[in-house]
Amino acid sequence: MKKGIEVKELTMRFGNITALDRVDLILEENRIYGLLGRNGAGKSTLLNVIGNRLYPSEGAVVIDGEIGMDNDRAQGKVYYMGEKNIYPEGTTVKQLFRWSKNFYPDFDMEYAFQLAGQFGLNPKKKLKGLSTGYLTIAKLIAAPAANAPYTFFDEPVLGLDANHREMFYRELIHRYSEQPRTIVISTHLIEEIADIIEQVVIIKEGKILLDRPAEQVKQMGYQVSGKASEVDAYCAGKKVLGEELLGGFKSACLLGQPENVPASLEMTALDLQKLFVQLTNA
Amino acid sequence: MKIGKMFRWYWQNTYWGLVGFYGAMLFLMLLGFVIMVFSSTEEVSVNGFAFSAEIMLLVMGIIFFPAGTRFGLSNGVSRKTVFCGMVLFLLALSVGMTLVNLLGQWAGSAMGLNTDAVEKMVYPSLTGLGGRFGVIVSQIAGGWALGMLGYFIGGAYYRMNKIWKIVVSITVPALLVFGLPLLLVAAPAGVVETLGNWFFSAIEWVVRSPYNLALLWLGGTVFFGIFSWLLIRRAPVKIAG
Repeated sequence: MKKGIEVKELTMRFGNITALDRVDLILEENRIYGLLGRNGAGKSTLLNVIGNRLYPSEGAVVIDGEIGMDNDRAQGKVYYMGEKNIYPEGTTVKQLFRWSKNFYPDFDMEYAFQLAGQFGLNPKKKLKGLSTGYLTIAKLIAAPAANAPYTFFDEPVLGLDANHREMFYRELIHRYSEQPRTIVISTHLIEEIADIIEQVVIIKEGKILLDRPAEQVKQMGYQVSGKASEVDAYCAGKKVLGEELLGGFKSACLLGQPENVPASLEMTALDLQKLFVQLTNA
Repeated sequence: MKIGKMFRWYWQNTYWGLVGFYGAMLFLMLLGFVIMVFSSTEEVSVNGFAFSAEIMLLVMGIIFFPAGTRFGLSNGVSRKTVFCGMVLFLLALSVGMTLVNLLGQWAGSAMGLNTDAVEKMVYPSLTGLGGRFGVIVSQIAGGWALGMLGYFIGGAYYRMNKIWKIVVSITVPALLVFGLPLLLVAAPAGVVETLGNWFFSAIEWVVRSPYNLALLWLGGTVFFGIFSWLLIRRAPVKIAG
């Protein structure tokens, strides 16, 4: 049986709007993906369709070799942590964990309570009594604790302070190293996940624009900075993704391998966020 | 099986509603008893157990389409399982409520209250266990059918956008209150007579036996079940707010 999720020619239309346009994508097992895209690019729609919250207009989702749409067994392998709360407001954090355990038998209650303690989340509190940040934390805890082979995070750190964000990323990596699984993180905070993700998927206007290992993406180009005139001279005839001018200084992102970079120019690795901005602006 | 898990979820979310419902019924019975004792009235009727339970099931159906769909789909449960779980849950709830209603009616009778006047009025010839059994079957089927009707209504509102919700909320009651009488007035006398005859013969058929009523309810269950399935089979997770 082939492990992983295969998205085949997936199209999702909402009336006249095509949110996903014949998307093909493979999510391999035990790999961390960064799903990037601008607002309205189709990130959440894609995750919602894979997670069976939306039914596609066309195409298919195959999970571990079987059709994933409306399939109890296949969907039991997918845990989707979305932005919004789907539990009745009177539900307590403890009840949320219990219900998750009911539907995801591998849910680790001990780990969930341990994480709640680390984050300072009171499990007896009702969801309606939680701040935006703590509501996110409650869902964030349930996701890795569910131990689903495919875990999706859609804007996972919304409303979290810097300390909690860092705790989450650290815990995610720790959990992943102990119990590998496929993780997809959809976020706008690219810099924060740049060092975590192994594969970059950029989606634009409902189509996959780029799907490559993070290391390869970083080697797709480079950045040079220095005096504006020198940068301009160096960039002439090269494929420039974008430029930034600050006073007399300029920095430019270029595609391809660095060649004969003058010593007066500083060369750095391509920044994922900058590449993303340039690719999605183009 | 996830049907069992969904069933459990539906039950957990129904439990307190049932406590409130039967609390109210008990209160009404006690009130009836107090009135009977202190006003020296010979017969006080506390009726409508079955009808109230059917309304309760209708409301459950309305509430559970959005709540169950949202919760089930977000927890790796297929639409098919969410739907089947609901159909079975409504049946079980209808059976359970009918049995509790019987207990309530029996307790009311023991207190000297008249608790089965409606059944006696519709099916006066039915007495004894055999006769009661048919009534019980028809009540179970009635609760199930109204639950499915509620599920269909809940589903229709869940799938509609805001504009359609407003249009339907105004148009359907308006058609029933004004449109139907106007249509009957405007229609040729022969057509109205035929419709009337057909309607009354249908009523006669239903009154002839509680099993006929049960069959009618089952037909309703299947009808609303099919339309509810059509509403859920491609339903998205829609979260209010």
